Amino acid sequence: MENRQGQEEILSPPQLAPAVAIMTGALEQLDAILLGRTALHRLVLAGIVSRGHVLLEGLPGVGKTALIRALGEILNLQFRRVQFTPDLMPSDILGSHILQGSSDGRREMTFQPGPVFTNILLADEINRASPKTQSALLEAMQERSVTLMGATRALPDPFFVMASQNPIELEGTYPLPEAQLDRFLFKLNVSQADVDVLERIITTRRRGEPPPASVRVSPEQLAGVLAVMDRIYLPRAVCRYIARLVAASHADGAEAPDIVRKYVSYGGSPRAAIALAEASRAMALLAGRPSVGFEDVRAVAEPVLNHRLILNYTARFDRVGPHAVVEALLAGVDETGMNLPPDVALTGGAGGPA
Amino acid sequence: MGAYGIKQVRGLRRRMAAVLAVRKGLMFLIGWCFLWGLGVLVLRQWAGVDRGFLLWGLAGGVPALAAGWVFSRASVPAESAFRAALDAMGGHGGLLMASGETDVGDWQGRIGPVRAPAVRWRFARPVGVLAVSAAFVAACLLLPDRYVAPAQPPAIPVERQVGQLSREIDALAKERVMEARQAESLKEKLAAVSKEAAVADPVKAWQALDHVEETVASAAKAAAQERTRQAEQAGRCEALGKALQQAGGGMDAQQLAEAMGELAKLANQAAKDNPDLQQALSRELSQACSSGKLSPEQVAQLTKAMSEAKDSACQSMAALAEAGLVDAESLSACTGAGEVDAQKLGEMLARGSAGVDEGSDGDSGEGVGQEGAASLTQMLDDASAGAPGRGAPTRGRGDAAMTWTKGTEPAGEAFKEQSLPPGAAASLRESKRVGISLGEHAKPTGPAAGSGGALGGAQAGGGAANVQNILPRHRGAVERYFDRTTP
Repeated sequence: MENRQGQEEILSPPQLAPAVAIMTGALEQLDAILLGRTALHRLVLAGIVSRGHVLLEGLPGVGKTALIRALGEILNLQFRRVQFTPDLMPSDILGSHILQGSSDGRREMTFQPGPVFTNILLADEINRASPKTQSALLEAMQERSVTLMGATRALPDPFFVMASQNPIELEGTYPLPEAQLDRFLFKLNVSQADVDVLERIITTRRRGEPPPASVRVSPEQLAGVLAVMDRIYLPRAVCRYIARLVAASHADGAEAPDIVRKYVSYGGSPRAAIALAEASRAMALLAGRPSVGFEDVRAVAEPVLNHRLILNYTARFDRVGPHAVVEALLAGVDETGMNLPPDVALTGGAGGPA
Repeated sequence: MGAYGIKQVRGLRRRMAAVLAVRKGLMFLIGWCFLWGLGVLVLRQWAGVDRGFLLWGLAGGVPALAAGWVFSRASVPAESAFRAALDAMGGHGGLLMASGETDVGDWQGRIGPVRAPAVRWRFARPVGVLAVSAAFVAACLLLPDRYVAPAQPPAIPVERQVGQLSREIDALAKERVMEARQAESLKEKLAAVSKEAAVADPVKAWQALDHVEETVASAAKAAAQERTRQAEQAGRCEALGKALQQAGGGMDAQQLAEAMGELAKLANQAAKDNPDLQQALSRELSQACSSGKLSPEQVAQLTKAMSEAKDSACQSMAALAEAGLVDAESLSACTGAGEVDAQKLGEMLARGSAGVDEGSDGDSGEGVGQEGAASLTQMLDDASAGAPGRGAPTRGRGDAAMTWTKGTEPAGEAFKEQSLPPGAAASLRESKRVGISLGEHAKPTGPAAGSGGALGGAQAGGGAANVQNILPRHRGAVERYFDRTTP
């Protein structure tokens, strides 16, 4: 049997409970600050717990920046916002060396950190920056470090990039390359609020300002949550399901559904499988469970895979999006892997958590 | 390791294995039924196997089910898959799966009861197909025999030939043409051919029949020739004997002795060629024949014996003809063989003159000798009914001796002179004689002919098949035609 690091034993209820309580509190606080976005909040929080970066896509004014600002406030982490513009340079984000005179009269190059040296970086309208500037974030997002003039500097821990982009007004924008997209754990679509939510916002929020956060997570608490997160148990059957799901996202996969074979040029990468596993763990933690179930995988499958599937032109002509492809994937791949004949099935089944 | 729910997992797996085994066994059973049905049809059609024996195919269902069970084992999912299915269906959030891999500790109490789902198999279609296959087998077994009668190999109609040959062999054996052992062997061979012709190679049967027929025909032909020869020899002896009896008193002693000697010689030869005749002749008569001295009584006895021998040969020949072994012409030849006009022969002997024909034909006998056995033989030939050279197809055989009349005298015959036409005479004046030919000038052929000039090898009429040769007598006319100076 292969060595499964961190998987030897499962968390006990007392070990899990504090982390669950912290995350539940943070989630409730987010729901209180931003109305009607419970599912989105859950996914964003799962992304944070998974140490992943999140790309928020939505129209202006739907609350993307407010969400990230509230998250930084709740998690009590350093927060910086960079408005990405076409003339933004990499040094504007990463920092630069400047010549400074010391007290003893000598002059030396001193590193001036950029806004990336923070815990939460809000890259607002990231697709408006040039590819060169966008690429400046590659090392920061993956390695969580910055290398300038031969010197590598680690970024604060934890480090999250919360990027937003506008799906309209695409003139003068630079779509994120696949390599950069792949570094985002989630790509979340922030939709319009419905009537009830809008009514609540208008009636409860003066000038739309959200209330200040009443619950703040300390760095120690966050570190504890992240430590617990690492011990969430991932059963082999779930691992297998994730692997088969990602393999089936390729057109030449053995279990690839017809829609994948027809519309997908490139499927999910191994990084997608890792992201699925980590995000599933986070979802299990948010659900208060010490192990990952198939429902956790299904819950994060779309935000993990939708920006990693590269569809062909046929899909564009037929107006088939990643959402439909991921749905077909989830419907087509048997999670248990039993591969029963079509005329044999398990029916009924009962029982459940006490 | 806390294997929570292991009982439910294993129970579910057993049920699934059973369902898959039955399902696969049913598939094999369906396949076996169709194979069995086909086998029943084939065996009944081609081998004529009894239906009761074919029912043993029912036992093939057991191996089919066993094979289904064996092959289904590979398709039964592992326990972990069933545990995952129970976890997913029960909403256990991975705890049930984790319990199969690690100790879940206090979480075990929170998993809750695990109730295995039911295994559902939509068996209507395979059962329907099984029913169809079983009906097929039943139909194959219950099909009336007349529809699936074993196919008989095509029979060869050799009975008629075998019967005919058998009768012919019997006739040959009865007439002692063929030895009994050989006849029996041939009849055994015929019986074998008659039996094998129905199942074996027809060509082989026909070849065997042809061989027997050839053997029988060959024996019959030889027998016919022998009987004809015997009849001829006996007939000539009989005629000579009768002629001697008739003309014995008018013959001088020397002629009579010579005639007696010739009769004895002919009788000896006939007896030598005819064993039956040899047995029929008494010892004294045989000795007299050998010595060449016959008394008048012995001549009478010999004449009678020869008559009987000829009758016997003719009867034997008639029997062969009745069996179809000899044609009518051969039978007629045998019956007429050795027929000699005894009275005429007697007169010839009495006159002492051999071969003088007093009839109207008058074109034979001149070259016949006057003495000895040769003379007597000639007389016998002349007196025989089929003597050659009677001047017509129906009056004697065609092997008559050539007779020569007075030949043409070449001396004194002059070449008839003939004057040539004027054209030919003119051409001859300008020509050079290289020889004299009686026929048309032979056109030279080959490379040496007409080898010069651009038109060498060209033919008149553009290569037409009709090649116009200019004869010497036409040469002047052709020259005049091409003479441009002539107005």
